[in-house]
Amino acid sequence: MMLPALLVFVVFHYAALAGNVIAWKDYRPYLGIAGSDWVGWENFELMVTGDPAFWNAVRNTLVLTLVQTVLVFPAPILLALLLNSMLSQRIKRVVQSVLYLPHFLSWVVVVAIFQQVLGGGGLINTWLRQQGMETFDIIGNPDLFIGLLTSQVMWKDTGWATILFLAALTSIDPSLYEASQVDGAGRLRQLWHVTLPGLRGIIILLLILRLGDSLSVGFEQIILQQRAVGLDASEVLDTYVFNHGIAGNAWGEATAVGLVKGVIGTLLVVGANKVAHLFGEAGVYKS
Amino acid sequence: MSPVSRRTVLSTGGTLAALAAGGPLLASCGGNSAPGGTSSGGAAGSDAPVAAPTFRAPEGPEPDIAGDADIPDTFFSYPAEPTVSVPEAPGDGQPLRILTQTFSPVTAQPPQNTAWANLNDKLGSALEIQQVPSGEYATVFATSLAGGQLPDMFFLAEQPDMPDMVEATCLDLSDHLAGDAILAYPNLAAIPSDCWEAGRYNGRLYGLPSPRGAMSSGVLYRRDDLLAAQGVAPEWDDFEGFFSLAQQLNDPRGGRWATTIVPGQYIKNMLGIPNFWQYDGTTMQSWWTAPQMEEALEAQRRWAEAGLMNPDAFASPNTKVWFSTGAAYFNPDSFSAWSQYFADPPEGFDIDVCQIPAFDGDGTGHLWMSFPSYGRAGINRNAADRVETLLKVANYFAAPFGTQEYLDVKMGQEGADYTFEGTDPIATSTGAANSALGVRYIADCRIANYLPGHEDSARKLDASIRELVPDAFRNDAVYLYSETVESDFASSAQMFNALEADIVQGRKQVSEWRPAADQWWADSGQQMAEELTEAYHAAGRG
Repeated sequence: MMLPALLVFVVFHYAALAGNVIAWKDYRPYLGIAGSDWVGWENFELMVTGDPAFWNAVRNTLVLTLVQTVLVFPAPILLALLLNSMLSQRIKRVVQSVLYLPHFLSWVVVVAIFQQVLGGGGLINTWLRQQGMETFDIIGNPDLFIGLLTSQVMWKDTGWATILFLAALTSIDPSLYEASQVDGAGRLRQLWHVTLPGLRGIIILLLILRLGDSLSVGFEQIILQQRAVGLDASEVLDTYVFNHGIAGNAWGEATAVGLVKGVIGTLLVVGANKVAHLFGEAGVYKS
Repeated sequence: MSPVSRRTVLSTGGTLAALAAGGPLLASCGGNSAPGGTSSGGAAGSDAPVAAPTFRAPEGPEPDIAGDADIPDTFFSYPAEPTVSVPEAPGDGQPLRILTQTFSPVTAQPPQNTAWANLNDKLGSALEIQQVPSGEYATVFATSLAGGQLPDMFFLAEQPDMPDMVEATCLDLSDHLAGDAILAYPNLAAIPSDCWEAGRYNGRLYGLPSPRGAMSSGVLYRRDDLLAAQGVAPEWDDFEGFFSLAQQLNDPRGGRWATTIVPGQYIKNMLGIPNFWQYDGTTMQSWWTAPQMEEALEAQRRWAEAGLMNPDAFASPNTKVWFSTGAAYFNPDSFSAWSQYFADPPEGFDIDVCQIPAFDGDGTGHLWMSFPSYGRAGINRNAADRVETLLKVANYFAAPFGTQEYLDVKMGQEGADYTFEGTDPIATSTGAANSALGVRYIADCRIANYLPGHEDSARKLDASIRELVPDAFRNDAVYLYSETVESDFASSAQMFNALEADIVQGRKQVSEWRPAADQWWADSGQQMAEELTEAYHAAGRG
């Protein structure tokens, strides 16, 4: 039963890893990997010598990572707690369906919706203009770009991300709530002493996994909106790899950057997992 | 066709990126064909170049207004009895795979797409066409190349080491095309000789051209019907006059702006900025370092600041639609877009191309002349055993005006995709979309100025081209090779495009341009200029 899945992994994940060798090559697509010249660590130099475009991408990536970890990660937990507190199962199901829906829209559609509503010629600005009122500039404003990206991510995926937390909530033993009630605990006390400890394992697991791809802050979403705000505000490591590597024909350097990003992600996962073990949590796997 | 993606093309009024990197004009099908106007050519030390393919004019109808190398022939009607230029089906019964770009929405597949199905029948081989939106083409091509997935025929996007890349991936067609050998393919022989230089690498012929003459040159269109309704004469003597007129016309509250996007290229044309590379008598100069650039940037910045273009001009430009639906009075596009605007014109629709006065009112500005050929297409090296079939198919694609094959390729299937009004083929409601297969970037005939049912407009277009072409600036590096251009131009273009976008949108100062231009000149620009100057002299042009 596992064989097909294993094969997919071997062919599309592990075998493809060998392609990373072009990070050490002056890769020319028409020569192929074997035919391209070996250049050693040359492609990694831009990360040391300080290509301004690269460091700009690093800075934007880190800021987005921080903002998204602080704002985006806890959002589904809060939402799951709110959903869980709803008494009417019917309303809860309707609300869940509505919240899950945006997850199934592609980024192209989500970005288009935001542009149609908030863009210069969008719904709101057109109405304001017709009333002779001042319009606002959200879509093309570099200062608001991080906020825009974050709100798009939250709108699209917060509902979907509640699924795991809701599942974890159902696994909490109801007798704990009964016992705490007997002890006189109110709703907030129950939340603090029963619900959140019950969710701690899954929160830490997801946080560790999130750290693993924390440097991936949304390639499609950003590349679709990059031209409106310029590269200074919008270039992140993933778009840099694309713009520099594929559009700019620097395949080797782009691979080197991607590889370093992957290594950092792995170190973050392993490191965070160790920290989790130190605090007695299971983490991604038990030690 | 260029290393510039749609994102960058759409950045600053579209045109810097578009023409710098030879990319298309914004959302249009105009533009040049190679980074910095070079490509093609070949590395030093190559063998003596093979002879250019012999030119033999097609036997076709007499034009109503005869053109020349730059100006297309004008026809007011299609011949009552189209000639047959390819008597036998050229295909070998095997599927024929094509990778090409498109400026139109990707078409339906056969059998729903009757134009495509009809072409398959006529060719005797089923076409398997992968159509890629032009803005994404360079990256799709690069990844197809890297993955060893190039099909039988493909439009060649710009890559570093173009001569070596072409030699490694494309079939050398010299034996089939050089000199009189091409006469076996009469429609290809009707392509003007200078277009074949687009596909010459290391002295040999690898690429099939798509002739355009001046038709891909970027111009500024205006809606004469809307201007007349406002009682405004479309006349100005300098930039300030144009700016004032735009301010007068601009009506955001009514949902109609002066321009679709910032008319960057038009402003540069007014200022007489070089059409990328310009030979000044001793060396090549580029537009990036041109002394008028600051003025061009400041004018664009003012335009953007005054909000004279659609508010979505930078975020999601949809220029053709805005212009066609009357949401703007002016729109940058290419001459060749003219016929598209008349495919399904609204009632009373009337357009023309703006003249280009000098920026300060002293003299005239200068149109940027497009390349003779819109890029080039290659035949896969692995398809050597089918080369004659593939060239015969290319010969079919290049069938000239007045032939039955022209109708098959350009219009589709009679009845389903077009019907005759008199002798003129008129596209049905689905015909234009069905026939936009992108094979016109694999091989094409000389473009014809023909607008069925719109004789006056055809005359107008002819007159506009004739007025603007004599003062046009050509890119002096057309089809010359420079190693540094090949390796560094794409990244340079990306940097300048981003900087121009930042300046025009007020995120950076105009004063930041000169240091960047000087730095580029010191880093690689001067080297590019020297190599191109050397190639210019070697080609006997200077």
